[in-house]
Amino acid sequence: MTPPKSDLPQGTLDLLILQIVALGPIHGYAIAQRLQQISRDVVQVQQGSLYPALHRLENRGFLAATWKPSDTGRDAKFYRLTPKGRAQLKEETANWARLTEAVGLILQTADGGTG
Amino acid sequence: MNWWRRFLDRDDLDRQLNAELRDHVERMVADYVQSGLSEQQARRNARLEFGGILQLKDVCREVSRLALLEHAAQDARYAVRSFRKTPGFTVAAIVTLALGIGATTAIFSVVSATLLRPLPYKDADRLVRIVDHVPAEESPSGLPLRTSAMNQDAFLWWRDQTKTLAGIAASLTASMTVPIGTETTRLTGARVSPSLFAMLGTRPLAGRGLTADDERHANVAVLSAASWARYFSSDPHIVGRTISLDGVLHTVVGVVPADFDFPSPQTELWTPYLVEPNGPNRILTVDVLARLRDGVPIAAASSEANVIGNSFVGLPAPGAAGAPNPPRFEVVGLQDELVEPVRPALRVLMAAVGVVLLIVCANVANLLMARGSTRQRELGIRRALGAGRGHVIRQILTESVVLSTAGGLAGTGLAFGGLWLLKTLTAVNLPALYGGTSTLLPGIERVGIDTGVLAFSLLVCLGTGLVFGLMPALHLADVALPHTSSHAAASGLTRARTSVRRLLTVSQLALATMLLVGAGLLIHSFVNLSSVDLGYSPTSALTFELVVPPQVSGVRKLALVNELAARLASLPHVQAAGFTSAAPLSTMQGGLVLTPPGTTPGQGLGPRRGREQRASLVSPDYLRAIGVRLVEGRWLDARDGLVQPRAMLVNRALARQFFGDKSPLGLSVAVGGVPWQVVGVVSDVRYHSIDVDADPQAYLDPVRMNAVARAAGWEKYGFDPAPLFVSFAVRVGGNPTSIVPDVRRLARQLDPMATIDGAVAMDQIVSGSLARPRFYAVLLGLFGGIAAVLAAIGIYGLLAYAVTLRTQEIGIRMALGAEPRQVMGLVFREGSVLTVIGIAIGVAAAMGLTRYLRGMLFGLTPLDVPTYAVVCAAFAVVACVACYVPARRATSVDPLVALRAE
Repeated sequence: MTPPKSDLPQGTLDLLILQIVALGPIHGYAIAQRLQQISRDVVQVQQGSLYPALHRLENRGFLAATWKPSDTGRDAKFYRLTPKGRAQLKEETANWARLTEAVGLILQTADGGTG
Repeated sequence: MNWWRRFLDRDDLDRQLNAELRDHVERMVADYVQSGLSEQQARRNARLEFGGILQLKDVCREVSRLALLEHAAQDARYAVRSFRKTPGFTVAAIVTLALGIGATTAIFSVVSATLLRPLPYKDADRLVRIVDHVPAEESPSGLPLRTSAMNQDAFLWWRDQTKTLAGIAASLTASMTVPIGTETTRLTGARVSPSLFAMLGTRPLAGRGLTADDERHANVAVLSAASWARYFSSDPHIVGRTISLDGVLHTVVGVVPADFDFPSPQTELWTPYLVEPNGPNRILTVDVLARLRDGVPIAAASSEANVIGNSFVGLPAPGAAGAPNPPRFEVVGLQDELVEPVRPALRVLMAAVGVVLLIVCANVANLLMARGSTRQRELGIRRALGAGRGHVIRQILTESVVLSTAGGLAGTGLAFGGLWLLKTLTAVNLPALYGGTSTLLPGIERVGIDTGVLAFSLLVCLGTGLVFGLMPALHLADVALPHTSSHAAASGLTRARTSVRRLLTVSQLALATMLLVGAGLLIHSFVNLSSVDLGYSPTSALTFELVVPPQVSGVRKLALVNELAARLASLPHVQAAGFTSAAPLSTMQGGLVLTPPGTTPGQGLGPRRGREQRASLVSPDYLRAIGVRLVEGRWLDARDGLVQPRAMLVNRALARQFFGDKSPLGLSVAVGGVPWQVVGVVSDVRYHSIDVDADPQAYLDPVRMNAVARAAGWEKYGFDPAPLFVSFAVRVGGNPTSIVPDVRRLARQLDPMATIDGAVAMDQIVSGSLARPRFYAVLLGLFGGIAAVLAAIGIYGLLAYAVTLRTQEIGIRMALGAEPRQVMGLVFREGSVLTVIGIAIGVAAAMGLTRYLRGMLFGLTPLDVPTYAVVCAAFAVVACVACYVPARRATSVDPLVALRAE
């Protein structure tokens, strides 16, 4: 009874990660968990995509990372949003909204045409 | 964020990546355990779900590597953009770097190849020459002579006596006439001991080299790869073909590759030569090459050489009383001997290029420090906006790298250009008689850009860029942030850096002065040489050699040359034509011995003392054809060949030596045992070389000399009434080489076997013999010029920067009523003090160092006052112009703007 899985459109993983990190410092495993929970298991991120994406965002200066003690007693790498990342998130969110609106519009007209 | 640190801390990055991924897996395991799985089961599930850890790590590493490149590209773009905003600085820095890299690479490539690259022979380091240091009193030119040629009796003596040399070979260069198709061509040949081929270990391209057997059947020849291709279209069946050399049939037995270049790279064919006791050519000297016996050190060969050599020339054995000290003979490695004539020049060149490199480094340092200081504001702002210390340093480093790369590229281009220039300047293209096609630096035709040297000079410049780019950067990065936006806080640092920059500027000025003095001396010397009175006028004169096979000799040859001279004179545009036995600046300088007045014949044949006096044979119009001036009396004319008295011309040196101040006209000098009457005095012709005064010289008519010789019965001693060597000269209105086809046609009409060789305009010969001093003057002049420009840029940069720093001070002064003149004086004074100090140090250093140029100077001493004065004055003017521009700019400071800047 698992719900059908969806592939993420190109580039949206970065947006989702930024959005989740924006809520507060968080480590990689928790980001994966959070993504899965919030999307009600529709979005499942492979570790193979998550970590490269995290590192890419870190290198671009959107995320900053620090090693801090965590609930397990070990140090974990916590990511947080930089001011630059916050700006990027804002811009990407706006982009996303415009895009989905446009895509929605197109799909509606297409429906009307056939129906 | 700091890719530089990331780059250095790869291991640390890896450790972090491992820890992060392990943390992830552990959390998954913990979740599975919580949901009720066993520890082992949980671990397996986690691992399955996580997938290939190794692969993931690779992807993550790739991400950071890409980031590294992205940042580097970003920094490089930023650097290029900031350079574009300061084009003056950028151009100055790139030109400076390019000059440094280009000049250093070209010169050191040539020097290292010339001095260090082994010759292309088997065990080339065991090949040696026997050098004889002939003292001045025994040398034909009256100057000490260093030679590795010896007469054939000496060669046989050495061959029989030596125990340290495993092989000893003789060679004689000889042009040979070869009919090819319908043309008769002269090839540059060498007659060599057949053992030479085994000694050099040559592997022939076809057939074989010469062998000991060839001493018996002498009519064989070996071709060079070049002549095989040029004259025989690389005929694959060349071995076994017969060719005619000087009218004698020879069989071609082999072809040798291009790197077989002994005795010279121009040798086109080799024939065997056997040195025999009392052989027919024993008066000719041979060039000698030897190979050390295995295990014998060169010093042992040298001491043996003095035993053998001293006993041959009749000197006491080494160590005995009266033996020459330092020893007269020396065994020298072939390569050292090749380089010997240019060794002082190579040293001077290397020193000069080293100085240029130093100036370049000083200039780059100066420019970068100035730039670093003027960027305090920019960098301060960037730091305030959140750029880390590392980021600023990284940016500066990237700029240095970008700058060095641009300079390096331009420098590499310049290096190739420089090598081409060196090859052009050192190439001398003259007929064989005048030294032939040769180069001032042996082996330069094979030299390419040495990548090691190029890498070295790139590294030096890059290193300078990094160090001096980083110095201000480190200071700036450490300056407390709130203060950087004002000039005041950094002024302490600035002051310290300014004194470093002053020091750099003064050293640049001093080094440049030194080079300029050296260049000035060499240029002055070259001017002296080219304005020397040669005693004749080479412009619009053509000279060539008439070549006939040995069968055409004696009276037949004399008739032929006389006829040719007469026909040449009747050509249109020809003003005078004649022939001689000894042409100026040629290698053929034979002559007849004179008997000075008041001595009996035969006395003049003892050991020569000082300058040789001699008589050469000239046809009546020869001297006029080469433009000799008549000082008093009359020229020889055609009747002098026939009627009494026997007429002779003398030059002024001879007139002075024999007759002092009184006129020699009508007096007589004995040649060949009979008196000759002086009918005219002519200008002193410099026969040996342009930088050596003319020898006392007499001129006789060949027809008349022939009659004297026949009367005295000289023919039985082998005297040839026709000069052995016949050099013609033709004075032409217009371009002298334009008549060469006519001359060739005339010669063939007179005798089908006759041909002409070495046709060349006489001024070309003079110019060719000036090639070496010209090369020194041009090269050092170039370096001196570069050094001067760089030093001017240096002082300009220093003052311009000082003006920028002092804008406020100047503004205040002007607001308080200072005149523009006073402001200008303020800046100008600083510049002129530095200039005076720099030039003074440079002159002092030059006075100490230019003595190494002594051997390269003509007509002046290394302490030539006018040269020093002119160089210093000229350089001071250049430096003053460089100071004037920023000083002028200081007066245009607007007090209001300057004060507002605070």
